[in-house]
Amino acid sequence: MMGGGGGGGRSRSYSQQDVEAMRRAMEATRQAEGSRRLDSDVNRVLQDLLVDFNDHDTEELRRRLRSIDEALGDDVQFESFVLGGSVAKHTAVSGLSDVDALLVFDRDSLEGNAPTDILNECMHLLSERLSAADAVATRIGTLSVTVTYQDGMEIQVLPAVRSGNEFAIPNSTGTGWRITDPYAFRTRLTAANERLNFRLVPTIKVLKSLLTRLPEDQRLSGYHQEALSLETTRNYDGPRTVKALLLHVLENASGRVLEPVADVTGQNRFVDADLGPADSPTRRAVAASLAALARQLRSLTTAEQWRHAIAEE
Amino acid sequence: MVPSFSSKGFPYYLPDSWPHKSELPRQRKSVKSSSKRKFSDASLSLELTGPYIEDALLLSAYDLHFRLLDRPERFFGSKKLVFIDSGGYELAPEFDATEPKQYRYRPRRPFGLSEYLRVLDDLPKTVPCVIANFDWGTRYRPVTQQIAKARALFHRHPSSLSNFLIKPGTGAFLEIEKRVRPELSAMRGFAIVGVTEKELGANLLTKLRTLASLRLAMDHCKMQEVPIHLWGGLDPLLVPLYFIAGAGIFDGVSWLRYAYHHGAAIAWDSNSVLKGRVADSAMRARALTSGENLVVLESLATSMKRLADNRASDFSVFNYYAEELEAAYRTMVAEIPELRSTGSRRPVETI
Repeated sequence: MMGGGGGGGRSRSYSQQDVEAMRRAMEATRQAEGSRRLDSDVNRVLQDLLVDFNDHDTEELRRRLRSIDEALGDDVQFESFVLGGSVAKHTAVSGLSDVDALLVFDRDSLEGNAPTDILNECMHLLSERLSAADAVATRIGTLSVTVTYQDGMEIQVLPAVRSGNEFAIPNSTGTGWRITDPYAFRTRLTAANERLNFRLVPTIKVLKSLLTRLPEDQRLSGYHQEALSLETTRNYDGPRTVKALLLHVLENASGRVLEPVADVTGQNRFVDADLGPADSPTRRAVAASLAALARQLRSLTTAEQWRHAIAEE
Repeated sequence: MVPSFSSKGFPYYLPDSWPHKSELPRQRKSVKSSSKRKFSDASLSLELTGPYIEDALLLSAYDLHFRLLDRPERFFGSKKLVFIDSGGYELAPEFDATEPKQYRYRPRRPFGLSEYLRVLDDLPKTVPCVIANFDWGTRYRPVTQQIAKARALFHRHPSSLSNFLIKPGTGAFLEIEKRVRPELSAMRGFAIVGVTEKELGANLLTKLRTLASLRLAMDHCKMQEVPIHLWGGLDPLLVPLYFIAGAGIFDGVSWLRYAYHHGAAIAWDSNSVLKGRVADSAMRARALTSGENLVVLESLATSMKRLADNRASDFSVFNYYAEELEAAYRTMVAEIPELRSTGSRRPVETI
């Protein structure tokens, strides 16, 4: 419409309606730009928070594993430690996530011992030999012995037998072994994380921090949150930012959580059996809480409000 | 970010309520009588958007001399700075690098140094002006002579900020090491040093490298406080890259020629489709697009200030194409040694 320099001679001007329309267009653009800027501001806030979430004291963890190793001594003949769970998946949140430390045994060295036998021995040795000033509590479950430290770190010690990519870990009764393939989930998570420009793992960490605000009886396991994040972003094609992904996961997880999520590792049938069957009252309560959290986050208008919402104790 | 208004490449129109003689500067012999006067379409844009531009705008002395804008001084008062171009852009037959080139353009004559000086003399004394040297007159001269001529001109207008536009001299592109660096110490007195985008190089990477070289050379010459004005470079995707390379002031008319949609410059009609405004009149579309473009430029300036604050470590400050800009930045750093040595320094000042 503007071609042809020097031509014309037309008489024209902008009408008052044009000027008013421009004003409105400017205001709308300003709001749109402001909204985009809020997105980037919030993502920077989330990035800041992630620095704290990633503040793992790896040296301290090594030291504690060494002390566990020394406490078990020659009485428990395992070959090596393998760190599993959120630490291996890089989804651990400092101060929130426990550490899954697999004691990997040679199958022949087990001499028919059941997992409960090993766990009892571990419990006995660890509670007796770990420094009381450091490890404040030791408790035994059907899968593991959990050592709790003064700073809140929890190390779960699980006996395991390796076979290729798979591990045999205690079954739900502790009387036998169950094959699990931790790489099955981790591989999918890694691929999805790459597809989403490496923003899925940070999103999961923020989600884990956020969901500590749920009532105790609605708390989701870390693995369940990871699985929900993975499932709900399978066909995601929106902005590859933590803020956008977080809102997407929350809004979609509120529906997905109503159905059990299969455990691809084979460790259990479902990752969320503790929530009961499909559409159970607990699942409905969690769904409502997730939807409410999403609505609350969507209503926030400043980056600082986001900071408080995520980092709230 | 300095929105520019130029008659170049735009059609003319007859005003509805001509003349406004009482409000015009004194008549010149060289211009047509008022009864036949036409204004540039750029005047309509100024009329429309001038009141909404807060920081700075750029007008051409050429347009002021030939009175192609309708009483532009009405819009000077509220601006922090008014940039005056010496008319080199309007006098040159070619267009800037990012502009469409379908127009057949022939500048009006005569317009030379004496006409430019008269325009400068007539500028309202109360307006904070940034004036350029008459680069058209010294465009083939060595840089030393360009500096000497510029000094003489700026000396006549000590209350205005000096904006020295370096021309390549011989050749199409600036040669920083060979022709500019040796003369930098003589440029220390200028408030701003400028280059045109199209004279930085034949392709984008070369342009960025030339700009980074100039910035580095100026820094080494104790000219860290002197911003580089990139003339004719106002593309929303390219501005961040030029900013990283060292420019701090940007002007251009692309905001009048294109629509900025989601961080990229596209054709107006395409923008009408994307915005659901296919049925709008051309004037309405132009009004809306001009206003929206101004807001996008404001927003882009905010993003670049934030990028400077984080020292180019976080490109999420950009509302659009953050990943692509970051990737381009990485390429720049890999390909342009000057950027590595400056640590992607940020300009001292942005407008």
